[in-house]
Amino acid sequence: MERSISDKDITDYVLNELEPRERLYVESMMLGCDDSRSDAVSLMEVSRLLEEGLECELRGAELQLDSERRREVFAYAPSEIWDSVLRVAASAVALAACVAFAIAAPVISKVAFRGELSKSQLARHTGIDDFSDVVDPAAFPVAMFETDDNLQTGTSDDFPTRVLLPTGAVNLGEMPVPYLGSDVN
Amino acid sequence: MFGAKQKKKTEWVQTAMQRYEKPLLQYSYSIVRDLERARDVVQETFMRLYKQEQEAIEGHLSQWLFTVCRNCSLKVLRSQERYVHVESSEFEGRSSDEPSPSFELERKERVARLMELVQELTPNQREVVRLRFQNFHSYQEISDITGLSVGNVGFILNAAMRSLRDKMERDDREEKIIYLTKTA
Repeated sequence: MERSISDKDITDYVLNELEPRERLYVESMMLGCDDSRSDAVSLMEVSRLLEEGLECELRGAELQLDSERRREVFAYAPSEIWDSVLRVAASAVALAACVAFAIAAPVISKVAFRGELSKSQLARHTGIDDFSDVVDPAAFPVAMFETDDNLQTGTSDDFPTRVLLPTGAVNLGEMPVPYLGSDVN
Repeated sequence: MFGAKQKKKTEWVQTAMQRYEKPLLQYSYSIVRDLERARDVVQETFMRLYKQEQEAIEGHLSQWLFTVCRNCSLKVLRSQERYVHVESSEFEGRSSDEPSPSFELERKERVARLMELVQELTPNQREVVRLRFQNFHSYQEISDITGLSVGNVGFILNAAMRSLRDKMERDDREEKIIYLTKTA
């Protein structure tokens, strides 16, 4: 009878690499084909002999790491822990140094921004409640900068164009300007 | 915090070592053909495991170990530019000193002959056969370890098994002819 399954199907069947549905199909095909059955049986024998032979390989040898190698594997671990501890400690020290530097040098805490301010924001910062004299609210303070404890206003000419930050000089002209709203009516 | 984490990791690696030390040594030996070098490779493999996060490897530990072991073994092999020499005697089973029945002897002879034939396979076939029959990996796992496609793994195994089977049958036939010639 002509084979309706391939050699590879039979090998996959012997090696149990088929899905249940495929397995069933191969079995049903093998029922009516002596060649396929004897093929599968011979491959199963090869499979068993291979398992046995490879299991016997190096049987006389001591198949394990010696104590020195074993110790070295586990000796690696403490340094990893110390690495982690050192990383955390270094981060904490760096953070503390940044905070201390910021407190000691107020200029660093200056925040520069430009833009339109709402009535309520202007009132809060300037103490002026009545803005009836202001024709163009957008033209009113066009820029402000803040120090630790007070807020100063003025024209853009009054502001420094560069401030020193821990990472170096930053050109304020290139910094994004926070938008504070335009509800001055 | 670190102590608990470290303890857990150590236990994890110890468990992995218990389970995979022997198969990895066998696998590495099959590539580097030197037990001491195989031990170095397996040590390196477990040291690398120690550096890994357990969560990242859980679920495919076996494939990870065999892949690293394979890469380290090949690196050793490349660095020494050694060619693999195989002594067939290395593959002879020495499982028992007790007298065995004749069929047992015959079977052992067949196994020894088959192991010789394994060495005649192509390197790809040899490796896939070992991963399958020595370490019982599935096609998918072998694919993960070797980088071959799953289909290719199946194809290689199919070819290797049929080649071994055919050579065994040919040897059996020749032996039979010799026996018949002698007795005639």
